[in-house]
Amino acid sequence: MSKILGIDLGTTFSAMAFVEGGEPKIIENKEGSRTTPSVIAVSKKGERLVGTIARRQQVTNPENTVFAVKRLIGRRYDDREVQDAKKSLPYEIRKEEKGDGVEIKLGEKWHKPAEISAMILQKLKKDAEEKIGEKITDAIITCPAYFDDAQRKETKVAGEIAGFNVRRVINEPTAAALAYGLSKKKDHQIVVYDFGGGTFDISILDVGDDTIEVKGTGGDSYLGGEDFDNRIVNWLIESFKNDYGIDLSKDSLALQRLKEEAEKAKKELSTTMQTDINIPFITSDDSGPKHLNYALSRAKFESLVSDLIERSIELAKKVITDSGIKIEDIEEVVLVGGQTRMPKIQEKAQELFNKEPNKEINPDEVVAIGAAIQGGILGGDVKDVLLLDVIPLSLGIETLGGKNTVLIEKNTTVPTQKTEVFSTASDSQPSVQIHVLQGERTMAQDNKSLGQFILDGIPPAPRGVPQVEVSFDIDSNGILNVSAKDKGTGKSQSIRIEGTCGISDEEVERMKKEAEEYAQADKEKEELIDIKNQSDQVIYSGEKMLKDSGDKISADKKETLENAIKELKEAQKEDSTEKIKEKLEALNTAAQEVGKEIHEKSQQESQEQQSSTGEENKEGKEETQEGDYEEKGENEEGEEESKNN
Amino acid sequence: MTDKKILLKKMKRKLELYKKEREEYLDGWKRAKADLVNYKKDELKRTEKMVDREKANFLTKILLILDNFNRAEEEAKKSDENDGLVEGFLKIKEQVEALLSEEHVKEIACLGEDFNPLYHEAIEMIDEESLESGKIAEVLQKGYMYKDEVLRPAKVKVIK
Repeated sequence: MSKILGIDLGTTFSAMAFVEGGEPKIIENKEGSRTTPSVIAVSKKGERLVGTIARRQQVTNPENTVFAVKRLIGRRYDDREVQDAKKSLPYEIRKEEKGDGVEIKLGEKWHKPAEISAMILQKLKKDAEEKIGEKITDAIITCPAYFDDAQRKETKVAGEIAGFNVRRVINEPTAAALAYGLSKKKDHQIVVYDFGGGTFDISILDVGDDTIEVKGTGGDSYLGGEDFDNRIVNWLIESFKNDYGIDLSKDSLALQRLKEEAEKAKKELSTTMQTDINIPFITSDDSGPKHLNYALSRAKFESLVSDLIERSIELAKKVITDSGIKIEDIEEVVLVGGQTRMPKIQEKAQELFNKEPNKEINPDEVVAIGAAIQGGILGGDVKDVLLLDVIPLSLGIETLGGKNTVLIEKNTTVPTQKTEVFSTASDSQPSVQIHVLQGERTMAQDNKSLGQFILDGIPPAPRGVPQVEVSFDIDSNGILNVSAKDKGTGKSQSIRIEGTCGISDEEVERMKKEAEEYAQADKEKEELIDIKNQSDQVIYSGEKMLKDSGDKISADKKETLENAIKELKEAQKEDSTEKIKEKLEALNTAAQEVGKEIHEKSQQESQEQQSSTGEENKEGKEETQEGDYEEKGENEEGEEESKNN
Repeated sequence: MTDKKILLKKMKRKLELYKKEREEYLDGWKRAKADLVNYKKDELKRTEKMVDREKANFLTKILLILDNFNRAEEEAKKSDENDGLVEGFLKIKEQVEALLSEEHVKEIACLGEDFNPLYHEAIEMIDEESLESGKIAEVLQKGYMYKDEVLRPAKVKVIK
């Protein structure tokens, strides 16, 4: 069965998505954008242009460039909305010859709004087919919740003209709720706060057993993100006029640059507290070029648009009162539309509804994604054919210093397998203990112990040399097999643990919550262990230095090194990361000094030796000596603790 | 004898069922494997495209700096007091242009050409009798191609 396309047919922009591998995905158009301007034009040569290209030529061809057709679809010519729209639209519209609908002139022909919408849908269909590589016949199209039967019917007709089998026309707020999976929450009241580019819609939904009912709608079809941009543009024009006495609103290029920068500044202020609007050479007069440079703070921007936000909040309150629902009965708030990225809007919405709003999904795409999910449900894509489980908590082993080293992260889909190489913590360590842990905490003791076993018979070797390969294998039933193999001898041991997925939901939640609560304390503990482990390593090499090359070190340096080792060992007994760090640094410096001395001495010795052997080998036969080198691998990092030692 | 026959029949039926199941599982497994291989291929293509797109985004940001160099150059032409400093700045501009050219960024031809919304964005229509209608009279902001795609359309004034 072919894919069902989910389409958000918007007033200014449209977007499309489909379900692939059980996940909804936005499809980019041919130009590589995730949204397509809902603009259609017929060029002077009679070519039909759709989307970005149509918008680019709008100035040259205003009477044959149709946009915001959604405001006209399914309406009667005499409707107040049509008459309002007519005032601001540069293209011609008239009353239908046979009927009371609307007709739009495009090129030489008169079209119904549905035919124009169909042209947008046709482009989306074609682009989607090219992207996916297969024919698409079915679609779900969204429309505002306030659309009446005639508008919905016309939307459906638009889809059919475009060549789709329109499976459903669903409400935009319903689609947004679907995208957040809220349709599963029975008896929930949901508010969808949709602040788009040109319109503001507020809807209240009631989730029933099988249906999502619209309890109330409202908004303002001429309030949107563009108004916010314009406020910044006007502020810039005013400021520039005050400072330089030049009116930029008369200069088309300057205005264009101001608009672009204003939109950019608005977006930036969603993440930063202040932004610089810097437009060099914006204009010039007799005294030379003029540059525009103003800093806009988030607070200033908020004050510029406070009435727009207030208005949206008042409209929301009105819809709630009209629908007879109490604010405290609202369980979920969903944010839709790019303008809802503005922190002040999120804050105000949260304040009004006393709920953290759902905003994780890209607000420009959430409606198309919801439509795709609806398509997925109808097409059977969303229903999992093969249920693949995930492990709810991380699995790991205990390593040096009582640390929990995770091998398989939580939320990994099973079956899966993971292997890592560990080593010993001390010289001639004969065995390692593998202690299998489940949980998110840093310290082994704070996690659930699933089992342990010992791998022995490791031949004597310095610490860090033996290689012990630890493998975790979980099958589809959640049965965990942990094995450890000494790569040197090939000897191995393993353990089988059942029911790693069978842990109760409450327990999983408790463990996850604990991990969050103790995150900071755990981090500190982890740092302490790491620094202690690092100190161990440095003490070990310092002592080795003293043992191996003690005769080459001068008495005072030797004493400094010995003292530094002693002090670091003392510091290790106290659990202070800072103190250990300080002493570790001191030991490192002392060891470097000693190392330098040893190096110099051995160079001196080899020179002396060379001059004596050089005389013997006067024929000039050069001997190449292969230098000893040490390879440092991951062993150093993950040394296996042995409690048996 | 009849019991044996019944048993045999039952066994045969079971065998058929298992065979069918085995086929289904094997098919499912093969499909899952193929899905993964295909997904990897798609993901690789997607990643390549994403890298290219990110690069294009970055190059677009550089274009904004080049625009200002161009504007500065235009202003410098108006003044007689051009010294070594201006010359130096123009050399920096050349460096930026060279960098873009190395990255396969090419300027879109505009002046005197027919307006084409695939490559140009109209900002204004102007009256100019000396030129044919629909031609580009002035370039307000240069447009560029990146490989075969429009990185940024040129912003132009078009003859009425």
